Amino acid sequence: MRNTLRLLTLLAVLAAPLAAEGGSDTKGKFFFKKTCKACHAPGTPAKEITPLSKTQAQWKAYFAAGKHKKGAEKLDSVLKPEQVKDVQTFLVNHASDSPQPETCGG
Amino acid sequence: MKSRITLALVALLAPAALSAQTPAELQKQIEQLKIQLKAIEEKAAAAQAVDERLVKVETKVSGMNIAWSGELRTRFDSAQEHFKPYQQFMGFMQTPSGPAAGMPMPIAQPVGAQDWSNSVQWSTRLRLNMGMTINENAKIMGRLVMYKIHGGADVPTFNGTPNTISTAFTAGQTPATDALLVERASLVYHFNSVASILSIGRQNTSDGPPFEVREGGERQATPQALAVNATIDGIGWKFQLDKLGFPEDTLLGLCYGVGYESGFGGGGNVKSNQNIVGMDFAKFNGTNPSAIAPVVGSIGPLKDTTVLGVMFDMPLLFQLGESVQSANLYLGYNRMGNMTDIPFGNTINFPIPGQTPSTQYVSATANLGDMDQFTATWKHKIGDTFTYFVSAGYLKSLPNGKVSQYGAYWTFPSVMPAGYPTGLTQLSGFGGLMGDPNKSQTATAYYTGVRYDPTPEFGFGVEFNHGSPRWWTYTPATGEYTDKLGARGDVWEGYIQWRFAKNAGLRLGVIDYKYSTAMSGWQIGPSAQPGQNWESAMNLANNPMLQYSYPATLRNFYASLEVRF
Repeated sequence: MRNTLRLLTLLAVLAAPLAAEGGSDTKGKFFFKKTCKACHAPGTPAKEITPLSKTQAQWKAYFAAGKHKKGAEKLDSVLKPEQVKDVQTFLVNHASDSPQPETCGG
Repeated sequence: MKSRITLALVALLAPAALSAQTPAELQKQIEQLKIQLKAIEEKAAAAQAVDERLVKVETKVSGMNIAWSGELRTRFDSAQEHFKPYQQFMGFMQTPSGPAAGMPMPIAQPVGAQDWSNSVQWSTRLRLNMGMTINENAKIMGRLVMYKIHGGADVPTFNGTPNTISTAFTAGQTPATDALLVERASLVYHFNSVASILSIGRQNTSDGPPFEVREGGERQATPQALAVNATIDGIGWKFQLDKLGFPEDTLLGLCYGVGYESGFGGGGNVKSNQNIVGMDFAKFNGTNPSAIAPVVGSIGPLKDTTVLGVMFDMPLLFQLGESVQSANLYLGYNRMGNMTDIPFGNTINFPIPGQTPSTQYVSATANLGDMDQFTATWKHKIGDTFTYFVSAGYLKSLPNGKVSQYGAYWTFPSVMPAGYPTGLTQLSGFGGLMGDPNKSQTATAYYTGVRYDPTPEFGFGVEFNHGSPRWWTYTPATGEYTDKLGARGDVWEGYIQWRFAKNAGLRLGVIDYKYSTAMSGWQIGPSAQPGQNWESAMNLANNPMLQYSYPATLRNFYASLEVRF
């Protein structure tokens, strides 16, 4: 058992430099709920939006265009530029065709 | 469509053409217009073809109202087991003489320490998740699963405790058959007016929190893993508490289900029945065979086993400085009513380690009482990299004095020394709830773990769980062929998960079991012999007298390839 723990620790140390520069899923969820859900909640004039509203490819295309309100304004005028990547990561990770869509868990 | 475009272009370009100065220029412009017109006509034709293809796709998609996702896992296991010495219970004989003359005396055969291994075992598990939207408020959720050891026949394998019961509860959780089983199938309806969600059918009651930490995915069910990880049929109603000031997505749930449908009667009989469970030799002196009397146990009509549960689920998402953290608090209570000794199913007997297992088909013979189960779990994820959890369980039995009809009985004299039983008494076998048919007993367990993901592709973790000597939980299996959370003793697990490609990963791990007490994974157990302490009598280190063998240690190395789609 002790040898197994040593091996796990060694692998963790070796893997640490590989840390990716991508957005944060947890931060993305937080900013999505705080900012996006303020308008895009159920029963609001702006339609409800959840990660399931689009596929992974559609979310990527949406963020590549960087437009909000059907092109009326830029996305980074709603979200801070550093938050856009996080929200994109969260939405893509839990899109309707992702292997772990965001659900209530039943 | 094509002619309309042509007409519009001609109308649009005519004034320009009329303003031409010379016939040559006019002719040149006409030629250019022809070229442009031809290009536009080609584009229009292409658009028309796309439109026709789109109609076909839309028609096809509208007919595909089931959204599918799933997981395929192929796993290699290598296990080593160690059995400590024990006394193999063989039956009873009458004490021939002395002050205890006539009283039962167990006959036991000593079995020495043994080591066994199953160095190579492959399995494949396929999970197909389904989602069907009925309307904006209603949907059907389901999961089909196939989980099978490579090769061999369709029989369950040893899952950490001998006499493994294979029932509908374990469908899909223990490797068994290559048939596609229904693990989940429920109609989910959102009542917006009362902020609640109703679920009817086979519920999402497997792989609950905090299993998702080890799996590296999303939470899969509501009941906590330490409480329930099995197939449950029933009804659940969850109320959204956001409007009462609780954090977003906080739920209070109530559920009711039938764990065992007894049908019209018990033991396969519509009415009460009696069954010979042994012979009474108390008056037999070796020459009067007519004095040998049958010992009869009554099998009465059974009540359905039920589960009434309450659960509280509060997710938290908050920011501390630059770090965003998420946490979940889960509280659960289950009242399991009219528990039976054994649900209908088959048991795989391992009387002696290594002996060829034999399958016996069994059905419940008695309601043994109720059980209260309390569980609490705290899970905390710091950023995207570090997660820890702590889970605890408490169990209390409320026995009704009855014991299983499976086992060995003895008729004691009506007058016995203090501390000794009188009358018809079960001395070995499956016994009563938590090993005591008369007194309420309690048990505790805890389950804790950490996981570190230095990169999105790589993560590793360590988990530990401990169960007290009488611990039992409704977790027939935990996704492998051993029963981790039902263990009476200590279990360590370490694992590494490497996602080498999109939606595909490799997992390496080891699970190390140290069982302290016999009959892990069972809600029932034989009473201790008169004058014995139950915990001591069942302790595997004390050369216990057992009807079946139980491993003292089990070490399982595994490697699995997991693909999600």
